[in-house]
Amino acid sequence: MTHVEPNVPKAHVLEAKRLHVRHPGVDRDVLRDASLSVLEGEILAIVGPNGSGKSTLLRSLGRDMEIRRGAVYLEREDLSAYPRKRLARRMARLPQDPLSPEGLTVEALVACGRSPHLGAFSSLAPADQDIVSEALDAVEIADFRTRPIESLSGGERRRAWIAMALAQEPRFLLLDEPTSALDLRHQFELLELLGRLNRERGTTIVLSIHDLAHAALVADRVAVLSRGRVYAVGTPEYVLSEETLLDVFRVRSKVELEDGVLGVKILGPGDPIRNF
Amino acid sequence: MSTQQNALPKEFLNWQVALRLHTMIERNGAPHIGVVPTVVVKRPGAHLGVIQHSVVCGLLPHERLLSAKTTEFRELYEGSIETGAREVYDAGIAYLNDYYVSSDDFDPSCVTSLVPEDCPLVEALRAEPKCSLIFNVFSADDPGTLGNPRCQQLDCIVDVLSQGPVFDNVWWHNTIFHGMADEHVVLRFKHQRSWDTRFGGLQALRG
Amino acid sequence: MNSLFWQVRSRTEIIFDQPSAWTLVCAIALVVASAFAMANGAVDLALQELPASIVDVDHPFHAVIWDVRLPRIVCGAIVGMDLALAGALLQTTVRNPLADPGILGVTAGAGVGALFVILFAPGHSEWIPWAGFAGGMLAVGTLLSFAAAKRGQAGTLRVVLSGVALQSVLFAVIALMTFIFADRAPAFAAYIVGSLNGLGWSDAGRMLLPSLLGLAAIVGIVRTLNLLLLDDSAAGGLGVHVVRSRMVAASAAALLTAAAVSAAGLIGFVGLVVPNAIRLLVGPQHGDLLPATALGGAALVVVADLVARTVLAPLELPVGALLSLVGGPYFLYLLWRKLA
Repeated sequence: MTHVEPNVPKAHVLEAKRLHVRHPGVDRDVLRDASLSVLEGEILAIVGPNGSGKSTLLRSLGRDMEIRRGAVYLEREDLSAYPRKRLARRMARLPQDPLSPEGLTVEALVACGRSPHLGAFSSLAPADQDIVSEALDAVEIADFRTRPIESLSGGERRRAWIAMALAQEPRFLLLDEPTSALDLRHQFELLELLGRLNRERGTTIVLSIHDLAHAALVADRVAVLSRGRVYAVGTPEYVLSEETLLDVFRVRSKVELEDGVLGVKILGPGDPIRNF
Repeated sequence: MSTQQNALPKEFLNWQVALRLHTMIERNGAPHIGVVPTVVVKRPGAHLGVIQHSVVCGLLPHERLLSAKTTEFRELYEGSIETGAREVYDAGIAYLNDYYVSSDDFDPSCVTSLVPEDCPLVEALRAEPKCSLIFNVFSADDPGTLGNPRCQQLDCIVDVLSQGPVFDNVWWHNTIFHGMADEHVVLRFKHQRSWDTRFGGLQALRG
Repeated sequence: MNSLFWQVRSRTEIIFDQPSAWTLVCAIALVVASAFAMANGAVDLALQELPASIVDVDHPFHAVIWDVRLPRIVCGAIVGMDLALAGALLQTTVRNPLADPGILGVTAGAGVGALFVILFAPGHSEWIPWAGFAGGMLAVGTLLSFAAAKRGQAGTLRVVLSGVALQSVLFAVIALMTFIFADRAPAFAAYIVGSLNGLGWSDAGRMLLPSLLGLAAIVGIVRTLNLLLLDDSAAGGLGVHVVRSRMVAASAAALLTAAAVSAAGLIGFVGLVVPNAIRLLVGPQHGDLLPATALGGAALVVVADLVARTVLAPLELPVGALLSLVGGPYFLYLLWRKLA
C-alpha cells in the first residue's frame, strides 16, 4: 500500500531457497525450484493461476508442508530445526478454510492464540486476557466475543481467526487466500485491516491472493508464480505488467496506473510466446 | 560416435542454424515450424501402424564444446533462478542471440529433443529405437536465405537418455526456458540417411 | 447458526451460567445414585436407614453394603468415569463426536488382551488391565494410521468406519477364543455386553492404578486437547506436536478403557453418550468438559446398574445390555444428524 522507496536496505527475514515440494501421495512436484525472499516489515502478495503453487509456497514458508529439496530460513535460522513453540510465538498462520469445533466461542478461539506463550499447566493471566481483548478490538469483533464461531458470517469468522493469529503476537503473519469467499466489502475491509496491522505493528505479512488489483492495492511487493516456479518478484507496477499477464495468466490485458491505483482490465485469452 | 558417413547433410545443418538465428532475432526464439519435425515410429506391439508425434528439436553442441556449453547453461540458470524464472528466461534469450553462428559449432551426427518420460513416443522408441524425422516447411519467411519450402526426411536411430553429458546439455538448455520437473528424457536422433522430398521424387542424399 | 448446542445452551443459560455448575450437578447425581444403589437390590432398605447401615457394624445390612453393594458401586463409578473420559479423548483425537472406545474397536482390543490373560495366565489377574492396554493400543495404532492418511472431515469419518470394521474383526476373535476355551472363559454373553455382577474390592483395586495413570496423562495434556479441536494445520501453527499429542490422548483412552474392561467386560456406549450430552451443556473446552464427563459417566453406570439389577428382580440383567438399549438409538440419532 505504501510504495515509499526505503532509504535503509531491509533485511531478508524469511527466505525460501530452491524449494522442491510435492503433495503427499502425488509423484509430481508442485513447487519446482521456487525461491522467495521476504523483506522485514513488508506486505508481500503471492499471485498466480490455479495450480501454480501459491498455497503450497505459503504453507512451505509456514512450515506446514514437507519440503523435498531446498530449505526455508527464518531470520537466518533453518526453519526445519526451529523449535515448535518458539516458531508459534514468532509466526502465525491463517489456513484457507479452518475447521472449528461446534460450540467454541470467539473468545475461546482467540485465547488459543496465547498458548504458545503459556507453559503446560498455566492458565491465562490477566496480561494474556488483555492481549486477547486487544486482538478482538483490532479486528473489530469484540461484540461477538461470547458467540459461538459457527454463528458468525464468513467474513466475521475469518476475522476471528485473524484475531487468534494476532493473539500469538507474531512478527510474521502468513495468510492463505484470506479474501476468498468473502463479499467485496469484506474483502476491502480485510485488506485495510492488514495494511493497518502492518503500519501500526510492523508485522511482516505474506498472503496469497487471487485478485491482481487487490494484490496491487495492499502489497509492497508481489511475487508471481507460474507452474511451480517464481516468475518474478517486485513492486506491483513492475511485476503486474501486460507481458506478465500474457505469459503467466495467458490473457491479453490493459494495465493502467490511475491515481496511484493499479487497474487491470482483462481483454480476452491470449497466446503467450514464452512457454512458462 | 559421429562419422562422416552418418553426418547430417551440410546444407540441412546450415539451414537449421540460419533458421534458429532468424527466429532468435525476429521472434525471441519461439519455435519455428522448421524446428518442429514430426517423428514417425513403428507402433509398439503391432505389425502395421505408426505413431506420429511432433517434437521441438535442438542442435547438440560439437563434442569439443559440449561440456563448456553445458556449464554455461547451468551457470546462467543457477545465477538467476533465485531472482525469478523470467530473469533466467531473459538471460537465456540474450545468451542464445550469439549461439547460432556457425554450423561447425554443432555436432553433425544428430539432433536432440526433450520429452516427458510418460509420452507414448518414448514407449515406442524404447521398443524399437528407429524412426523418421519429417521436416515440412512451406512458410514464406525469407525464402532466399532460409531455402523455403523444404521437405526433409531424416531416418534415425534413437538413444533414449536419462543421464550423461548429452542429457545434461539438453536438460539445462531447456530448463532455462521452461520449468522442468524430473520426469523428462532426452531423445538423441542419430542420423542414418536423408531424403529430400521437395520435388515429388525421393532423392537420397549423402551428407 | 441454530446449532443444537446453542439451542440447549440458551435455554439453560438462565439457570446455569457457569460450566462448573454442571460438574456440581453431576457430582450430586452420582451421590444420589449411589445412595439409591446402596439402598436397593435383592432386598430393599429404606433410605432413612442408609446412614446407620453404613456406619453401624451390627446393622443387618452392613455386610451387604460393605461386601456386595458398595464395591459394586465403586467399580461401576470407576468404569463409568474411565469409559466416559476415554470417549471424550477419542472424540477429540479423531475430531468426531461419533467416536467412543467401543465403536472404534479399542474396547474390543482391550477385551482380546484381557482374555489372553484370563485364559492363559489365570493366576495373574493383576496383569489383566495391562494386557488389555496392549490390546487397546493395537486398535489405537490402526486408527491413528488411518487418521494420519487424510485431512478434514472426510478423514475423520473414515476413521470411525475403520474402527467399526476393526471392532467386528476383534469381536470375532473374542467369540472364537471364548468358544474354543469355553470351560475357562467367562460367560461370552455377559462378557461382550458388559456386567458388574460379582465385582468386589479386588476388582476396584485392580482398576485403580491404570485409571490414575490415565487421569494423570489427561491432566498433562488438557490445554493441548483444546488445541487439537482445531484442525491440524491450525494446531500445528500454535506450536502443538499434533501427532505426538494425538498419540498421548489415544493411549490414555486405551489405558482407561483397558482398566474398565478388566473389571466389567466390554461395556459400550458410555463413552459415546456422556461426553456428547455434557458437551451440549458445557461446551467443547476440556477444562469444563472433562470433570463433568467423568462424574456424569460414573453416575450413569451406577444408575444403569441399579436399574438393571432391580427392573426384572430377582433376575440381574447385565448393565451393558441396558446401556446399549439407550446408547444404540442415541448413536443412530447422532449419525443421522451428522450425515443429514
